[in-house]
Amino acid sequence: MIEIQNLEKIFYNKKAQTIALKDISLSINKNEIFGIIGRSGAGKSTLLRCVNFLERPTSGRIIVDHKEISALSGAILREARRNIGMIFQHFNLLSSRTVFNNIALPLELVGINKSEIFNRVKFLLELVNLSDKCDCYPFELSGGQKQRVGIARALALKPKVLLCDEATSSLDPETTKSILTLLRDFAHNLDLTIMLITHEIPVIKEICDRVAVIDSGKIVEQGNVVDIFTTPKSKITRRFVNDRMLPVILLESLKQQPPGNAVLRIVFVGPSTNTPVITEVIRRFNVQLNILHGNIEYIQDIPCGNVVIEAMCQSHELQAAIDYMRINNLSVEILGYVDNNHRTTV
Amino acid sequence: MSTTIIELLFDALLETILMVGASSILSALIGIPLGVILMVTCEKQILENKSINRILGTVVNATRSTPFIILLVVIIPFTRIIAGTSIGTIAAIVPLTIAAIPFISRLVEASLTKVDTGLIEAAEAMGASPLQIIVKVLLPEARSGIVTDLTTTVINLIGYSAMAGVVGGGGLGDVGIRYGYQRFCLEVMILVVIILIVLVQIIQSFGDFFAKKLTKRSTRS
Repeated sequence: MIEIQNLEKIFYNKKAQTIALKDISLSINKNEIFGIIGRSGAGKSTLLRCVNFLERPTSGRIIVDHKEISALSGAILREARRNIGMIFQHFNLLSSRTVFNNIALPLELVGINKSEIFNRVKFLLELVNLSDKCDCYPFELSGGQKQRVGIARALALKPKVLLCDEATSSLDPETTKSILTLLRDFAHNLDLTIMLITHEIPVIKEICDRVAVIDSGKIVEQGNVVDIFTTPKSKITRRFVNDRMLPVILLESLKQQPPGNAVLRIVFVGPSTNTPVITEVIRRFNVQLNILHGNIEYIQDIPCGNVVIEAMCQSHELQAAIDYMRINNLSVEILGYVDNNHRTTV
Repeated sequence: MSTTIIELLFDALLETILMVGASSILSALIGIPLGVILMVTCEKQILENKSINRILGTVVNATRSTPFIILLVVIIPFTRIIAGTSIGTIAAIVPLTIAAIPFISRLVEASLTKVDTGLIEAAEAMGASPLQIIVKVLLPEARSGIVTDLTTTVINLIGYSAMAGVVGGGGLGDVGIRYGYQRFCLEVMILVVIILIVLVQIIQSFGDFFAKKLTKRSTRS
């Protein structure tokens, strides 16, 4: 549905030029929720804005719903934009218009007659569950309600694509959850393809099918959300994932080299969460395992376990145990080593 | 107080209202669109156009930096073409309008620039044309600010109109000078000032009232 090929964006100012995006290629399937995650300044916002040409790319092609956006301009570009809805971090609602009239705006722009606008807006208000706020002004609404108005407005022209620019970043966790649920429902029920950018890991885990990690204007990794989060390959992704998974106090006592007990990260996904591999390891090898940290979470209803353990054993026993676990489809990684008595310092 | 003085002041008040009212309306009709053009042709705005912006900007600045009393005299030939005469209340409307247009356009430009760029971006994302953005987003969102701008302009014009006596425009300021200053009629001078204060107060209150009514934000201020 969205095809981005060799996209490049360079910002020129008087003296210097800044490369914001470099050789970005992405392909987003129909009815998919595709997330782009990166730290602030990584270029994710620029990338999203290139899709509907709010930002004009320096080179590269953008194809949305079989139309090459990068070949359009003027009235034809405006026409194409109507097929691409957009919601924003700060909602961007018109303060001088009521909720009803905010949602009606895109319909007015295309010149739809009043009674049709009325019906469509009423329908959209029901869809986002705001029928009672119809005549309110934006300042009378909470953040979550404002974003729901934003979503209704973005969906007014029945777009095939919805772009979300940090849509939940200024909302509290609970409201974020309700907005994400709404978006996921719409993606399924309204035949919508969603491209969203965020710096929040939970947003990606909650609703995205696939994710791309962007850093310094380049895509460093992309793929299935479960894969990216359980077995991150690039350094930056790992940092994104690790930062949130290891307690600081444990990180501080980790050493890069032996001596000491090896600290392993064991990741198990899906069916392997049901097999008692760890128990088998302890039975078969002369290994003592001590759980330091761990959790099991569900990424799109797939259980993903992540356990950090300290292995107390001889080094050859350790290698055998690791091999055994790998054969049984667990991903094992040696994070470092800790002293025997590290707990006394904790 | 003699009835002649009351009559004199009443006529002068009507002249002031006529001059200020007409020039306010005319300058708003030209100045608001000019302000819009100044804003949208600015760098990074929806109809960025450096040459138009620079030319209009220079003309506006030049007019604004000319003292009104000089402008009044300098444009007399132009006034004669427009009004058919260069003397009298009607003729005074021409220089007042010319002086107020750049004033109002700069104020409107500033008010429009204050509109959140996110709103313009949202409208562009919806496929709005530049004209639709101006009519549906910029002007409605800035309407409260524009009302305040108009209020300021009207009050400014009341001040300018005091100088209209130079071309025989009449009005309160003229009466104040001729009777109060040149004929040492202190009470006329005081009355003129009081009437002007009341007039300005009324206009300001009306302006504030409408501006507030058009603001759809939390009303803390």
